Amino acid sequence: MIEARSLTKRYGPTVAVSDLSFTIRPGIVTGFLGPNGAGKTTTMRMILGLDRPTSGSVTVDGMPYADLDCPMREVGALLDARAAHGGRSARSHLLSMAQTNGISRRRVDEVLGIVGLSDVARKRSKGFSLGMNQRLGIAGALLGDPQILMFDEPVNGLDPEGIVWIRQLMRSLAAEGRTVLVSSHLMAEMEHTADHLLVIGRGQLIADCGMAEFLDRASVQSVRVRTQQADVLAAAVAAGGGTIVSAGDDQLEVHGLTEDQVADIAFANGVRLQHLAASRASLEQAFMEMTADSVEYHAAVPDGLQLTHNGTEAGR
Amino acid sequence: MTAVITEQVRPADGTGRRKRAGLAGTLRAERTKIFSVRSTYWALALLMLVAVGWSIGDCAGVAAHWSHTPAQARAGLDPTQDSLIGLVLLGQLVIVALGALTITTEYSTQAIRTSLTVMPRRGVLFTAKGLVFTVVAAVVAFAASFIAFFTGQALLASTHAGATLSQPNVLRAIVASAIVVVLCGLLTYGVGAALRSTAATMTTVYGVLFLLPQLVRALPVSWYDDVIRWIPGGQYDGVISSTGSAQLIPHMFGIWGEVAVMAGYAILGLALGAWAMHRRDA
Repeated sequence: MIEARSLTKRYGPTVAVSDLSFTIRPGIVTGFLGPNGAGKTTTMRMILGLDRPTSGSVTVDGMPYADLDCPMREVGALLDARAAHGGRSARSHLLSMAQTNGISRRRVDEVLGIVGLSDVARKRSKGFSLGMNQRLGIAGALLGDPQILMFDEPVNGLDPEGIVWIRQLMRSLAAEGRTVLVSSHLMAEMEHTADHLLVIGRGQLIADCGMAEFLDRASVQSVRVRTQQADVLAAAVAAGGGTIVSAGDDQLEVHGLTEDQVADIAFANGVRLQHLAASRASLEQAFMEMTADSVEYHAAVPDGLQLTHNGTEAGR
Repeated sequence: MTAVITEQVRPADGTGRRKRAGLAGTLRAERTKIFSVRSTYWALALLMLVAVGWSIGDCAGVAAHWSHTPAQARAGLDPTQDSLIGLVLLGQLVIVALGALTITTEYSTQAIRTSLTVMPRRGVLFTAKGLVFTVVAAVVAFAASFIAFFTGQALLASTHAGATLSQPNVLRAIVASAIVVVLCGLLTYGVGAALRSTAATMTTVYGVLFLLPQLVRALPVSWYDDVIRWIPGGQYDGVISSTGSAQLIPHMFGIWGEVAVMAGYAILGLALGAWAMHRRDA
């Protein structure tokens, strides 16, 4: 359980994180979303006591991180893939971490096996690929068998196989009842992993809700129609309560009506349709819309966002 | 890569004893760290090399020219100083590099984030790192000091003017030379924790140790004499490695006085580093 209360971090006049309050619960994967520079890493650094909040507080299991008896046995963190001295071997790096918290050498070899680095354990991490460094960081997070895990952009630099591996790892960690917080600026990645979402933009909380709720509330049902009688249909749709958001030569995009309703209106008005399809905004689009002007929205998912589809089919 | 299943993540056999993480474990971790990078071995080997190498060059030179050295010059010979001055003068250069790298590479590689995540009590980390550095530097500096001394005296054997440990002040010079080298390293470690950059730290400390004494020369003579004894570096290398009386150089403190001045600067540097480590975001 991680709890933040009015967490704020300022660097001079720049506000990196502003009045953030949230609770991260065990047993689920919480996705921490935001564009680059939104304050995700700063927030995670404050959770770990690396950065001091300007005001507000954040606790891990009810106490500040620095007061935890054995931090590694409570929290495992992957903050930066390359947070290791390149001249040191993978095993020495993990061993030095383990020694601070009284973790056995056997466990060091065990986690090297879990992440698949046993063969290169004695090689200097300087020569590691980004993906291997990422695995080394994850090995470090798993060392103390902690109940809380935090991963900052864990899929960065991983190949597709590695991405699937990380996803399964996070899901299985949560399934064991652990608290899993994973940050990403890739919405698509979250759709596959997270149960709950914490969305921030410009340091402010935009949404704190379940994945399904986020999609329902943030994405707008949109119906695309192609017909030779676009003018007729446009008038009829408008009369029927729909909104025309874009109109081409023989194309319409309608908000506010389901595809069944549009079909009924077309039939009632004797309009012949060449194409009728519903598309739902992807998480990615919903997110970009939301964070585009984040200061307008506080702490709740705004209803009725206007989404533009730019003529491409939304990917759901 | 095979998928991780639940059983694999959990430790098969526990993770070891559960006890509040403190200085003991952090000392073990820092020992692992300092001995698992090559730069440590390079720096320590170099320290030994400059100390013993200078002693060999200096003492062998003295021995070679002994037959046509005038009696007055023979009487002025301080064989202990000839074998130790390399350690004090050049050893400083090397130990400053090692002292800086001990802490600054943590910042340049971002490893500091890992170190402070596993040991968030910053004072404990700073202390453990400093203690491990002190022990390693001291072992090598003392070894270098004694080896340089004995090597030098062996080369001076033909002159029958060499020093032995039983002579007055000889052991004092050997010990003080090693201590001053360690203190230079500690000063740098503290400055490194405050500045966080290898280049900035080494430039600053070299500036203080080697450039400052030269700048002080611009002062009027009467001021110079009052100021120079308080400057780390200065002319203390000569004082510290000598077996002469306390007032070998009239305007300098005696041998332990100069060591104390250096210790004062080391404490100042360490205090600065500890404060920065405690206050600043990692």
